[in-house]
Amino acid sequence: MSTVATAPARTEPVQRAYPPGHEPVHNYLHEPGPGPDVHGFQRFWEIFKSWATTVDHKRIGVMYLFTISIFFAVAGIAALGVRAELLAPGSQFLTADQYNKLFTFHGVVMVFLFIIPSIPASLGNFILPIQLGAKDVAFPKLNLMSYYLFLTGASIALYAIFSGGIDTGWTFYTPYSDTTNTAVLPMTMAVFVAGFATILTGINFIVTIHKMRAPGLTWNRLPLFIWALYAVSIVQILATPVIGITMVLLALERFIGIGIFDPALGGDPVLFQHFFWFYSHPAVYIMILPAFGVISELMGTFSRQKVFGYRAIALSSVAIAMLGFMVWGHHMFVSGQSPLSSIVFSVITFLIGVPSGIKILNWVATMYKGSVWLATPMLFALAFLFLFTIGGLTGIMVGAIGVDIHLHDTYFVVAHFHYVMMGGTVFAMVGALFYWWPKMFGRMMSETWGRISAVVMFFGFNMTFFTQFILGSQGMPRRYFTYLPQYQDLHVVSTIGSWFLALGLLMVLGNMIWSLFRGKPAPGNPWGAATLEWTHTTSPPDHHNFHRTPLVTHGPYDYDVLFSGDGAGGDGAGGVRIAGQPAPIPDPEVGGPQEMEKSVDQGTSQPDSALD
Amino acid sequence: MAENLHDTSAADPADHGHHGHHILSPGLLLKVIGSLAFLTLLTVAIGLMERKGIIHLGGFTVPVALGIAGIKATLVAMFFMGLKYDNKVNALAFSLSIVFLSIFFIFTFLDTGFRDTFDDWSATPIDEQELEELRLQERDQELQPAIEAQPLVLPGDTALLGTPPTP
Amino acid sequence: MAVHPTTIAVDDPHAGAHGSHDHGGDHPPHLKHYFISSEQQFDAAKLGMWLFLVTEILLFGGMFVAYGIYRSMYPELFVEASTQLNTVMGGINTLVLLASSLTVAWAIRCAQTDNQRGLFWNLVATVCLAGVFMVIKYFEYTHKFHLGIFPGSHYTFFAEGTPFTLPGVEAAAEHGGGHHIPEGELPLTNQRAGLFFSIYYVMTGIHGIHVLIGMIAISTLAVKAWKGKYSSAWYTPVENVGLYWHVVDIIWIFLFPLMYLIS
Repeated sequence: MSTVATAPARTEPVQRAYPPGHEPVHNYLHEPGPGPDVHGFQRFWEIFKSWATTVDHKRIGVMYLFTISIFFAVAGIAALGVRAELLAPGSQFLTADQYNKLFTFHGVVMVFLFIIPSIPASLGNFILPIQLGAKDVAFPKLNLMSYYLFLTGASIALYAIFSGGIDTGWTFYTPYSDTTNTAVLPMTMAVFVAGFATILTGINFIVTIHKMRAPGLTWNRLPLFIWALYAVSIVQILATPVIGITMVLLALERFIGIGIFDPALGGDPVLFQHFFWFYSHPAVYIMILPAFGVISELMGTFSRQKVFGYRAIALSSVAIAMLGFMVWGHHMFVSGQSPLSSIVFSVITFLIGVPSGIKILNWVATMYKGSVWLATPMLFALAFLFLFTIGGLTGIMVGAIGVDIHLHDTYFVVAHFHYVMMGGTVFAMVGALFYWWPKMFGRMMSETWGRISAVVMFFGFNMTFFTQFILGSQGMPRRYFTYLPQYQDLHVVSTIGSWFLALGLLMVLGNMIWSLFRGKPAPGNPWGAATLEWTHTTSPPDHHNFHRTPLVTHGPYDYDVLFSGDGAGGDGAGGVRIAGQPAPIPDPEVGGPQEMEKSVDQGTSQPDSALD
Repeated sequence: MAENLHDTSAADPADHGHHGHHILSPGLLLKVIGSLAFLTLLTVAIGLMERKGIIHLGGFTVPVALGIAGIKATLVAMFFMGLKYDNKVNALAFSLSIVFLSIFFIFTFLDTGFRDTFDDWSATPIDEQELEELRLQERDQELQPAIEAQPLVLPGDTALLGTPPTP
Repeated sequence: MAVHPTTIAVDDPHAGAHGSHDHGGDHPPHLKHYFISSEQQFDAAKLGMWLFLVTEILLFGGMFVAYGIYRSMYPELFVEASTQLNTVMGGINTLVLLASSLTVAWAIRCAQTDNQRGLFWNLVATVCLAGVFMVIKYFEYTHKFHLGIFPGSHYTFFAEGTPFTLPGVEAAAEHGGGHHIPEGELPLTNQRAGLFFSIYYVMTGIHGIHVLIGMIAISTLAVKAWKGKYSSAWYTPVENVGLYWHVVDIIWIFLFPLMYLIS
């Protein structure tokens, strides 16, 4: 393995048509694609074809982002419907059956079609190879296949939902799922197929991280986003096959009556719950670990400070991934499992709090005495810190057996996991979108509206879900179509909060669409970050990511090396360069949108303006 | 988790530490298949002898059978699959799958193997459970007037939530 | 502080015709443009295959866990039901699969030593041995179907007077009752017999599907080997399919004693 560009001495200088730093940029959004002389339908068709058959990880990431955004919107509208129905006890505009199908729709689409692929498949696909200094993932064709498998699984799931729906909840518990007349069979197949997509992404990421790092990019210099994706991929590979076989067994049970989980035939229905949660609890970490990675990046960049406890954060991701496999029984405290296993599962559940706490304390320590720049991504990161801490601590509460038996299946649990999933993953994902949007599309989003939307979302979120903690502790059961009148006031507050949350998300969506057409062209490194996707390539990146393979000589958060006069000085060989020009250095002391826009105006953006 | 946290370069030999592609010699291949065939006959012989009552392994039946199978699997993995000569990451991946399979089995068995511990409720006959249920229902009826006399939401709660107490 | 070179010249991605990836020069024809060397590409493909095998092991692992849990719950069921499986046929099948593992390993050796004929014939031998395995499996299955040994609720091979307490099993047994029991066959007396055979059919069935997939893959390799596509310079598909085939073998190595040799 000596040929990985070990030393410049080996290679003769390559004869080029362009001097270094002045190569033309082949914007991945336009190339490959039709030439300027193709017009009309022909043009549209060729653009479509070049995207549908692409093996470019960046385009696949964008395609994933587009697809999951649609699922997020649809499932979000379903959630608004659920909240509106709960404005008053009794039927408002839905029957009880319609209500059951609506919240099942919300849950299934959000879990399987949005959150599980959310950050890894969209942003991970886009960012991971660039942060590693690679030209692509290790298996680009498998990557595209994974996208189409996801689409296939999603189509089958939607078919199952609309052909009569499914009333088992997303957990498919036997023996009810053996006997119900709804579309369990297609849904199990959908989960099986979508699982394949997850496995392929996981394999791709692990191999890419192991084998395709740029020269000098050691494990100790990997950005923390990569570490998080590494941990996630391990979980995906180890857990997903088990949901696969579980779904096959459930399908065979309905199809030919093998009875492995059917008590009428001598099987054990609780065994099904073990099989299901052996996947589905680690799946919770598939949802939250990428968010941890995003927050680590944001904390470093916007505090302009080396991430505190780099190694502790990196290894705690892996620790969470491993411990996450030994706690699934805390979903089953009231299932009739043995008291011994309940106690063991409860103890290990508390242990998960240790690596999670390590992360939170390290993030806070990163901000301490840093130069915190309250740009939009940082606002979302701070919101994440607040919301995830609440979500995590209430998780410890329901991890205690006695408390859980009281709170099981109440709104307390609903609030807990929404604080983790929505307040954690979704806030981190929106923050990550604000952060990487300029890199992905070459346009800046509006800072002002971004900050407003962050505040509105934070306010709306807490209004929606904090009330549900109170409702749950008072005994309001989850998944109920109606309720006792004494719960109404809090339900109304929660529903109004959901409108604010939706308003905030609409502002984010509007901001994105506005930026695609009217946003200022983004410089290569608008945030002054120190990872490869910012320092070594243009916004948006070249079709091949880099003109030359980067040589990594510093850690991912060594802002002092990057932006000191020493590093950027000399003959210009060092320091941050974007398209051959020394990068603008944002001054965090006075940093902010004005300074940022000034640097844009100075003409440091790439010559090919994006999305013209 | 990483194969080497301290390597200094992605191109470091530690990361890609194998010495070209190892070619297995015919003699070694034949030795391995010979051992595999012998172990297969051995496990069949032990199984049949125990079934016919010639030997009694008692509690060791399963460990012996799994042990022989484990040795066979190790031989296949080490030589036929080349793990002995290969990059250590592959061996690590392979062993991780075994570790997590064990976790899966052990924790599931913690439930199914210990259902009757602590409180042997599952052994209570169903008629006794029903009698207990009836007794509790009678007690509920006795206490019902007292419960109805007490408002569901206390005045303190009303002040907090602004909800009129509804019986 | 020394000046850090942050970029080094390796190659210019746009040197070739843009959009097509067949770079000229010293790049071997099989080397993808996003890899730097054949060695990196081979290592990556192999690690990817190993990770896929990890998922295969956990897929079967789920079934092994179900097996272990039920065997610990109903040990007498497993002892009794196992007598219905033909140890001789199972043993022969084990030897057949082990031999096919040898031929695959030998095929890889032939590829590494540029022995094209040896590569082709070893792959053909592997497919033939896999075929023998499937034929023996076919005879085992049909014999059981003949007796009424089906998975789960379709199982009917009960002895007279078997005590039934499970509603589902009793209904199924009555429904398929009056079955003719041939001479010399011993019907089972355990009402959960269907549960054992559910596990047996699912595990051996999914294993059989893997054998079939392996046969298709190895046949494809054999055709390409006949055309001389593989050599010591590039034989990644042979290596990876070989790894897959060995895992199929390893799974059977565990299935055989756990199913056929219970006492």
